[in-house]
Amino acid sequence: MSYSWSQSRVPVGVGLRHVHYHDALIHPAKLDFVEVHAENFFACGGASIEVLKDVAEHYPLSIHGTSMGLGSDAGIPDHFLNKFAHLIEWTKPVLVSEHAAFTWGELDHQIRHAGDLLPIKFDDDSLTTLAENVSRVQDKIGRQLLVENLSAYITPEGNTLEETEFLSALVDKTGCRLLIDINNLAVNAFNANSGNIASRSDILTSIENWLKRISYDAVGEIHLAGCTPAPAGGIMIDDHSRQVSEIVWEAYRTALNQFGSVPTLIEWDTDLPEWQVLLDEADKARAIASELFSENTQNQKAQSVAL
Amino acid sequence: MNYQPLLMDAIASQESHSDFDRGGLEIYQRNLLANAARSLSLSYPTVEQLVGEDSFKILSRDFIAVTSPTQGDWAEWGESFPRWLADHSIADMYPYIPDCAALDWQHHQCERAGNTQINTESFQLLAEEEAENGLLLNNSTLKTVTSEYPIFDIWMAHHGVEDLKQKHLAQAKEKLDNKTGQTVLIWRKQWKVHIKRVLAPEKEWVNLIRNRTPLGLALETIQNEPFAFESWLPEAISEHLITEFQLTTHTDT
Repeated sequence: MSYSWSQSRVPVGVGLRHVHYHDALIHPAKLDFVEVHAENFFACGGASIEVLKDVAEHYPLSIHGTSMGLGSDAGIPDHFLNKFAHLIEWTKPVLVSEHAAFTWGELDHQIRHAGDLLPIKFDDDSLTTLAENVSRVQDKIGRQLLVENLSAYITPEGNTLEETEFLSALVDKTGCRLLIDINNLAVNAFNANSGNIASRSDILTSIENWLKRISYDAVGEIHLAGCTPAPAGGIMIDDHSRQVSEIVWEAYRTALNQFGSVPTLIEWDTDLPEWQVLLDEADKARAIASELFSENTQNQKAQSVAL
Repeated sequence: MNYQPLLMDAIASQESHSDFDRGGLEIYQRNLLANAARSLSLSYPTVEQLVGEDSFKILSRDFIAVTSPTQGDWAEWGESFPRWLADHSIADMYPYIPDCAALDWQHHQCERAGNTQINTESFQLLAEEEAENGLLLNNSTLKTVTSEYPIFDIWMAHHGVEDLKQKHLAQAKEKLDNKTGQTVLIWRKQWKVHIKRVLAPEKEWVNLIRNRTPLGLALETIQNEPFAFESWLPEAISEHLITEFQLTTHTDT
């Protein structure tokens, strides 16, 4: 499927999961793209591959990896990278993304997979590893990768760089761009309070400060999601099980103001709602972007008239 | 140990670790168990139904403690689960469960296997004089599972047509009492996985085909068995159990 995104508006997509395949294919929605998880289509053949071919006939695709472990000291095994690259080759997605996380490690002389996205250290050695792996992936797939910030539930000892400093350096070293997950920022900001109740404004300020440290042209995509509220004194888990929270919508406005018309995705992975609910969330993102850029255009016009 | 393997090890251990925040580590530990249970339930749906959701979670917890993922794709994890179950105490009580698991895994693999090309026209060559030297090629997804237990009826009692589930369940119970085993063929026709119970003669015939036995020799081998090639062939073609007929020269064989 060929595609062209207008520079004048924000492309908005939704995460497409198994339960919504039928709805998405029978009643194609006005979406700029849908995102699928790469590993769900690593099979050699069969129904899942045929479904993805059908989906690709109706929507531009974004391929989002969830297991590659770009920050793994152990590297990325060839067998995994080959599957990923093959998928990219035949789906020809509009966006390709993965996480700033590690998943592979050598234990008892065997390369094992953690089965989860685990936090990496923010230091020079880790940056070198991440940059080498990102470059290897980009060389293999022959295109730019978007690297997503992580929601993390432990903080490794010995960080010497701020996360924003670390990710910005990664962009400089590799030519990749960032996929900023605003809910991950919200979750990290909430959990950074170690069980103390973080106020809404504290969290928003934390997110906005984070966003301010990222340069305008480093961002290639934004993820929006909601999650289950944390129990009292507990840790918030980024389970992508709810509508986008108000705080994330608010931070999204800040992000769009700062980064411009960046492709935006609504993520929802557990306790999936009706397909229409996802489309409504996408409409909301589109409305915010439209309102914001319309305001900006009017402000610019007003400024130029005043000048 | 460096940070990364240390964290992986701490998560896999399912115990607290002095280097990591307890609450955060527990989230990763719980997530690992949840992912393992979910993944195995997709690959082994019959086993999950047989033992129940709660027992299955315990089995998946114990299994991942000794079998770490290595592929980065949860769908590829769990190949050794049937063998592991065979050594587990649950097999003392339900000895058919490991073979049911083996059938589940082959079904799961069949769903994910590469697509098969069908050369329908090639079957016209069966009319040629030299056809006896030719080879019937089986569907590349075809697998056989043989058990001392009625694995076909057990499988159909859980996944078959709703109206027939009770019938298969009754047959499974009867065969368990009589210690009657079953052999099952599994293959994929287009996107749908088929499973079929076969008796010994058809099993032998399918093995001859899979071993690339020339048609004439295969028929000669099976001639004293109650197997009707003439009725088997059209069904095997229409169901994509076989995908091509190849004529070969003497030098090929």
